[in-house]
Amino acid sequence: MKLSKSILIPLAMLALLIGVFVVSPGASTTLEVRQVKFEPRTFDLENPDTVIVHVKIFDSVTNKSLADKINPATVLLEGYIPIIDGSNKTTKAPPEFTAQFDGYTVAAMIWAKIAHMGLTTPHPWVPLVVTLKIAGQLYDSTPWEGTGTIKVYIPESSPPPPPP
Amino acid sequence: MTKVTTLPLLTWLLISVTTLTILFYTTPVSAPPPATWRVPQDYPTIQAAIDATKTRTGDIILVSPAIYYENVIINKEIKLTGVNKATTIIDAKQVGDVIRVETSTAQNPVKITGFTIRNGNNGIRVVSAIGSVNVTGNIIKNNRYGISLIGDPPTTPTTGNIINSNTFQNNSNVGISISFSLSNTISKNDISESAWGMKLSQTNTTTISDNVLKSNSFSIHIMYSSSNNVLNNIGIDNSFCIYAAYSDHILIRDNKVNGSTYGIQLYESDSNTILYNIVSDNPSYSIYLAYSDTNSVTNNTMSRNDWGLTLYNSSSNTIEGNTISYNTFGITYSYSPINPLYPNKIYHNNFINNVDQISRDASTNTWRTPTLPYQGNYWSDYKGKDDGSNGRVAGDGIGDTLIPHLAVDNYPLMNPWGIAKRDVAILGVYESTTRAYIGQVVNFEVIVKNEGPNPETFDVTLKNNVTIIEERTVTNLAPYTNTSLFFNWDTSTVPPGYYLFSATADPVPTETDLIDNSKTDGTISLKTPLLGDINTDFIVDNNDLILFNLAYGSTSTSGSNWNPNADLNKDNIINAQDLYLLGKNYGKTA
Repeated sequence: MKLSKSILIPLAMLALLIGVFVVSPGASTTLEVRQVKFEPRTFDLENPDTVIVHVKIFDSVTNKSLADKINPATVLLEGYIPIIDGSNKTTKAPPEFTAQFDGYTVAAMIWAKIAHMGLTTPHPWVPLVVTLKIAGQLYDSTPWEGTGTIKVYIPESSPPPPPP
Repeated sequence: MTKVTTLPLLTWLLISVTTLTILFYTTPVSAPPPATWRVPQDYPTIQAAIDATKTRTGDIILVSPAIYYENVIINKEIKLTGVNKATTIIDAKQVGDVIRVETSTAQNPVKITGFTIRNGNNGIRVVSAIGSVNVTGNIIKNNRYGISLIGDPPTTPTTGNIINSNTFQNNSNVGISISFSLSNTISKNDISESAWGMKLSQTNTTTISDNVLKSNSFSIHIMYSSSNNVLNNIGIDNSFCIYAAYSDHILIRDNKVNGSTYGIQLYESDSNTILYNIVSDNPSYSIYLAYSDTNSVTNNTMSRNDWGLTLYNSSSNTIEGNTISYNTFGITYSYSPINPLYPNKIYHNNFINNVDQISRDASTNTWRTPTLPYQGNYWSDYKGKDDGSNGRVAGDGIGDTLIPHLAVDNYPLMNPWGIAKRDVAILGVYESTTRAYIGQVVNFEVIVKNEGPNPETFDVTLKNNVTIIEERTVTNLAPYTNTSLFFNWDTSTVPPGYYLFSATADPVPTETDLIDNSKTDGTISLKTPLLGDINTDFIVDNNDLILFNLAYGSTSTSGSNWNPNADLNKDNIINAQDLYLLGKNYGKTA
């Protein structure tokens, strides 16, 4: 069977378009977040410390770190808590991006999660672990996101004494 | 000649070089001594001094008096020292933490001393899971938290922190906050005007001692903790002075609490010990147990409070030896116990002049000692008699009429327990002989008695004339019982003469009857040995001659009939020479 030129040309153009889409860096299919690590090791909801998130992000094809490609201005925790400081500069190997968030804002968000989950009096010796999402864009607007966990210390309330 | 002298010279040179080489390589290279860096003389700010590359582990950063507006981050194991705690001030200007400790080890603990630390979110924040920080001799004020330490549950507690001799003032939330921690020492601090003076959670084997806590909402607040010691603290005008919830094996001892709404409270806390505290002059509650079981409340004083001892929904507690006096309510209990199989044991307490001695519901408790002879409590309003009525023993200190007192106490004590009735006595001094030769050992028996209601420990001294022969300690002598002490008096170095013996028992606390604490009894005549008095009966007579004959011919190394007393000339043989000496003294008396 012989294909006519009128069919071959559109087919060739379609194949070209598909190829361009696949290899386009804007498609970001090669981006991989390998670590989202939260500090402090135990987050005190009553006396919250600044929350620091360490992100390790790579191009999975080239295995090259993309930490210095993250645009700090785009980074949000849980989709709405803005960064108060971020740094692409790191002496660690592989490099990592560090983002700082206001502890009180994070505490308020976690309190809301706890209330939503109905966790009011967890057993004190089993710290509550909360999963949080951090997301942002690279300088070329490629979106990225990752999740990590933070260990939470929930202060206990003092039960009032009953009347005798 | 030259050759002869050169060779030794070369040898010595070789030895010297070898020795020096060995010394050089074997002498350990010790770390340089800690350096002292001064602020502002060496570095303009405290942080600059810490960050300097020259500053190493163990160094001292010495800060001169001034106000330093900084948020200090300690990320090296250094000692931060202010020259004068009143005038060397670190001020965070209400932004962030004043000092943040990010590293410290048991080998090189970070030490912070000699500062006023003020106006921060935390005066000192020790980041999660760092331990062994030493905070001593500072003024920490006007922060949200004075000091905050938190471990990393469930595996990594912060451990071995020392918080000593600081003044915590007006830290709005907490003075000292410690969570998930072990083996800390919190002592000699003054803590005032905080919502929580001390707040310990999930913190074990920690000692809280000799602190003064004033005008806090919660003064010492302990939750989910175990095996802590709360000792010798003073609490004044707090809402809750010592509060433990969901905790066990806490020892609360020798504290003085007054002016608090709640003096000492346990909430859902079991197996704790509340001992020898003075919880008096509190406007509401003195000692309050709620939902708390198997605790021991012993030998405390609860006076002039609105409520003395209060139990709510609490079981199997032991309430013993307390003095509860001049309160509106002496002892109050409700739902205690809920299950009558687990009563509280209440005995040997003194209920003195409370407006209502008991305030209660229908709960049933045990109002006597666990073992015979049963004894109850002392009630100042008990008017019964110890006359042997109802088939009981007269004069045993337990009331026999008008019982059960207040419908609870079948064994009311006639006298206050442990108050002004403590009494020990010497009943007799008995010697084994009234005459002895120098060199003999004389035995004594001294009989002592505890005439009071408490077990007593006291010293007993035996003297001859004015010389102390021996001192003994009587330990935990049971109430109303005797015991004998046996003494030995070795007279080897004592000159001959007449000796008068006396025994004295040291008074026990609050003892007033001291007349019977001493007894003089027995005179011993101590004599120079009389040669020939073989049976030591102080006369040389036929009895000695009989003993001599039995031993005659024996030597110290042979003969089963050897008697050393018969060897009068000490030549290790009993023969005619000894008989001659005996004969010379025959008929004489010592």
